[in-house]
Amino acid sequence: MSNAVPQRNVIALNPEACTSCMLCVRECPTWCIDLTSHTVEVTEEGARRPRSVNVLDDFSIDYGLCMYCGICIEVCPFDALGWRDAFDYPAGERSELRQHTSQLSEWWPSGN
Amino acid sequence: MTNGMVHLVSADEWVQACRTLADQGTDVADWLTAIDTAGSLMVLVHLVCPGTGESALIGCHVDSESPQIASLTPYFAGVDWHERETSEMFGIEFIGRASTDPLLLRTAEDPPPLRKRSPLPARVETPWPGREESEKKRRRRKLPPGVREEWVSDE
Amino acid sequence: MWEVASRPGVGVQVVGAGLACCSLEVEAAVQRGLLVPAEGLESGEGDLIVLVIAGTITRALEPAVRRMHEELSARGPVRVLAFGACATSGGPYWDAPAVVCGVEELFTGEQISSYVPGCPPRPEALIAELERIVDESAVTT
Repeated sequence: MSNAVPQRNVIALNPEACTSCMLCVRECPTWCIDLTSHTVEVTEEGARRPRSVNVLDDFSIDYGLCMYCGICIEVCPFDALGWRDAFDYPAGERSELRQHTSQLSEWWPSGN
Repeated sequence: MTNGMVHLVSADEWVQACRTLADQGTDVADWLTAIDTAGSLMVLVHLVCPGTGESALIGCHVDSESPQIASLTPYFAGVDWHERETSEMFGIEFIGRASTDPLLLRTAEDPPPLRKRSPLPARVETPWPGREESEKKRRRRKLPPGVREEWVSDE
Repeated sequence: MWEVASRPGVGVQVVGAGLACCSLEVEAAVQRGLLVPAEGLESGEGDLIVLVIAGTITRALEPAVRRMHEELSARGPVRVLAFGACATSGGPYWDAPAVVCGVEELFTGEQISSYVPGCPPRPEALIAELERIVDESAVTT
């Protein structure tokens, strides 16, 4: 199978770019994305007061529901999601189709 | 001739308006359907002249609670299937139809699928992953996309 | 009787419930020669029987799918393979009242051998799963 043409076989995540803004979660037509996060206070030199930032706890996509429309990729303001080549991720149990941050980020660099 | 504009007529004028347009050339029924804008229910028919490409869009508002309109089947053979489908999808009665064979396998209790008032129970009952859970944000609870206020306000 | 091209000599009774668009991907697997009709392999009792549910299961067709499984079960244990999002969960149509939300509503966990994600999955994804089924059954015999 040629890798010259980008394949839309799976959606991968770059957790470092994700700000937990939840846009992808809200726009997904099948409601297959789940995201948990918490906020931390960050103090910066010279700033008058600390600011709150989101820290991603878990990002998951239920690939049993995902219809590969790509709306999440299009809507992400930080380009934290992208199409990748990997297609062999079946499961024996329904729940195993939900892929979490670690697997989604493993697919990010090359998707193989 | 239409440039996308709908020629609106009353229920009394419906059949005659279509027949007049047919006499003028657009005598083939391309499609018939209905539009539910939650504020109103409108039946639409698209008549075309295959030879010249001329077309006309005729619309008629029908009663939202018990919608009914005269059938065009005595004059346009091609509208038969469309009226059958529109009747089931929107619950509109087409008066004067020869048969009322259902297309869908629905029971009498199932609401017409394409009426906006017909809820999608799965979307109302399933917890939406996009709901706001943060305590700091005191915004009014946002409805998920595809869920209408009227489906949940009864709770 | 079929053979996975990469696993010659092992007959697999692949029965497709071609319910919707996913069935085209199953056909593509055959068209590409990844799944071929088995020549000269006789059906027998120890055969692998895979029922591939390829497409949306509507309430209208639910009885037919159940019957397929029932009648196939007369030949031996049937492995249900949910191919694609619709067969797995209802997929894009999860909210439609006329849709059965996946094979779990019709079969038990034991009867369901695998879920192949995709909308639709690639033909290669079906083949990879069939290869796995063939390899696993070789280990146990």
